[in-house]
Amino acid sequence: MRKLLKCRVAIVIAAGWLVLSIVGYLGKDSIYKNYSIDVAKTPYFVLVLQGIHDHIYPWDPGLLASFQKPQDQIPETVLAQTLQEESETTETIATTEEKEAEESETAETITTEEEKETEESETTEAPKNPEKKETVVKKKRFVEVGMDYFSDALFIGDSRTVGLHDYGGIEGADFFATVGMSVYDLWTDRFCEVDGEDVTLEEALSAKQYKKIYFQLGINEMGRGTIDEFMEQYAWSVEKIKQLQPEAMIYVQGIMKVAKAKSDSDAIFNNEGIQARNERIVNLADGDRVFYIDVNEAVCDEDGALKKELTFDNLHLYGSEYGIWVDFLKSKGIEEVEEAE
Amino acid sequence: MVFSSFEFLFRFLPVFFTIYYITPKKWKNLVLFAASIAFYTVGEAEYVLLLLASVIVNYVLARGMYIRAEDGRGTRQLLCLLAALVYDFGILFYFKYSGRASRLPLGISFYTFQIAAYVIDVYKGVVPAEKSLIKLGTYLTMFPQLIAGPIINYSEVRLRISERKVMLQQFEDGLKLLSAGLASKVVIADRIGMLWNNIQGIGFASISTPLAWMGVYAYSIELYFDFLGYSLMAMGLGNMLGFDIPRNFAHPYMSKSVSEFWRRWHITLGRWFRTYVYIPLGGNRKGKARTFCNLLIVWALTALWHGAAANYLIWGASLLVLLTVEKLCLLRYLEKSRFFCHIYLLLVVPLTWIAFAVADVRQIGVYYTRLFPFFGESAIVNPLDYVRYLKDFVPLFLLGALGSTRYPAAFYRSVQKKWFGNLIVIVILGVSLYYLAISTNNPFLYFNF
Repeated sequence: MRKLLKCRVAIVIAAGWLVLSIVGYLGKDSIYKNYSIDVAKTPYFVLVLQGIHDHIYPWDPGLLASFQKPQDQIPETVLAQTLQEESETTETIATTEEKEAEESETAETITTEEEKETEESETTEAPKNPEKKETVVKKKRFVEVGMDYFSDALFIGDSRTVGLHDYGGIEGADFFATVGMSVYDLWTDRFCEVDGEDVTLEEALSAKQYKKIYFQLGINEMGRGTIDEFMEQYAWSVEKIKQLQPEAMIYVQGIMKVAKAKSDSDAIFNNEGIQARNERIVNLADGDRVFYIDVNEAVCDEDGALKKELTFDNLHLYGSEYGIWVDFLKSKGIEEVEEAE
Repeated sequence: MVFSSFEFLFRFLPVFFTIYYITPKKWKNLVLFAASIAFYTVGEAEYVLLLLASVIVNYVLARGMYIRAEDGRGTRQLLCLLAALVYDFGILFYFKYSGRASRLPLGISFYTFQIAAYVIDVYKGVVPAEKSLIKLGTYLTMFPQLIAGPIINYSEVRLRISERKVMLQQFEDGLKLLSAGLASKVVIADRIGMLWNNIQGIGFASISTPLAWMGVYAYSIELYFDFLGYSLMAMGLGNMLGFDIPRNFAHPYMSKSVSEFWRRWHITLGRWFRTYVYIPLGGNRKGKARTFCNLLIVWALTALWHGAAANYLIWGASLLVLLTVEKLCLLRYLEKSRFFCHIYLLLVVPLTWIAFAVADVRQIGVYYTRLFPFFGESAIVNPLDYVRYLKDFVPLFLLGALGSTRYPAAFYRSVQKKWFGNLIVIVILGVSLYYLAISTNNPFLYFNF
């Protein structure tokens, strides 16, 4: 026995393993419910360690939430919570609806104003074709542009946009992008550098107005939440950007695909999943302020996968290949033209 | 099932050690043998029979050498030896170099060398042929060192295979080594390896010169701590089983010359080539020309052992050049100097690792042009790319540099008997498990820019 007590490290490890595993087990349906581990291969204490990484500590009072079930107490709080949640969701829905209504109104006003303008111009200027009485409608279309197009642009994105910043050679534009960024963290993380200070995206977008905003997110979100949850958050983010940047056109960019080797071997990060998301993102385009562009047109092979000669890790372009993306963006400048109808 | 996984550490090991410790002494080898085969099967079910065949073939041929007590070293003994070596290296050649096999069986480079050493030693009379198939199988397949060494000589473990006491103190000591090895792998190697991964992701043509140099040292640290970590874990597991597994590294980056470096890096492989190739060829006792020739053979084989690809040949050739220059003239200056030798070593060895790390020979050239940018830049380079990485990786570089010296181990030895020493081990293990936990939670870790 005395010999056993000399094995201090072994004893502490065994004790720590036991205690933290109990904590992990107790919390697996409450504070650690967002983590999933394969119990056949992984001990429960891993939950505790993963929690610590996300600042969820074992002394979190919620640890035992799923075990304290005296019948008269819990239902109330649970009910209250659900009620609160419900009312919140209804509220958001209501606000989005309102927003939509407002927008359609403004859109209408724009057209009426335009009509007025045309009328005015028709009356003031001598009409060349007096016989024709057509309305002129402003339409937007993609045209080839030069690098100066980006001088009043902003790029928002994840590691791929970081690469575009580092190797794209785009001058004058701002970049709010960081490794691992997702729509879920977009408005909470202080990842935007404005005047040497790290601020949130909302603060950054309030500080300066842009004419074009390029938005590419969506790969880090895979494996986290459903596609509907993702799209809800994505659409909400685009809407918020529209409000904060009333002058800007917003390019929602399709998520760049991964190379075939990655797509074939990964249950989560594969091209089917990316395609499904892109097919939803494209619906956000309205032809007026939001435009969908898809760099996959320029970087994919015939199978619709990222060409393997463009990437080492099957996910990111080589530094020397970002020119392809830049050239693609240059082919998607937006020009407003007047078309007779 | 890699050592640095929860599955191995907290599923396989506890079950195995419980069974191993309650098993009566005379069945312990059988338990260990069976567990090793199970361990191998989890990693490589396809080739487990190949491993068992190697045990059986070498067992039979070694037993066939000296049947009667009066048998001397004659034709039959030589034929048995040759048959065993042809079989062992024939299999290795087929899988590693013929290009006909789709995949290399796990650990084959290591266990082939280990069993070849055994039959050569039996032939030379260094050890008697093992009579028990279980014991020989236990020696060859022992899971702590089956996949990546250290390459143990049978003479080192023969007595312990037959008779060993498994003491609690050894278990405790082994546990400490295991923790140190795990930390080396998951706290240093895996994390600084992310810098090297990022550099590969950017593409060598597009990295700035400072980043290229950071990459060289990041890879050097990753490689060392990865392999050191594995070897320490093997030693620790060996202790816990009641064996003494020899060490594979002796602070190699502290060496004063490349010659010394290779005596202190992957020691058991260098020892194998010295014992079974270099010395039988005459070593350095037959004049400078023969010495050079012997070195050439040893380094050609060392390079080939790592792989048949062209980059390994370039790597081996660069080492051969350095060793020859050192032997001819440089060594006597290096050994006298106190600072220059270290600067020289820490410049030259990391540069040789580039050819080791990069499989595409053209890319090796590209990397060198980024290290020494005398010819300008061929692609888009972001000249300030290193700033961000410097910020992220400086602590790891410092940790790697400190860990490469003998000071941490010396400090630990001075306090190991006290509670403070135990506390150090526990904290190190806790930190290691933390990094292990969050890296499994984040499969993207390696792919992030």
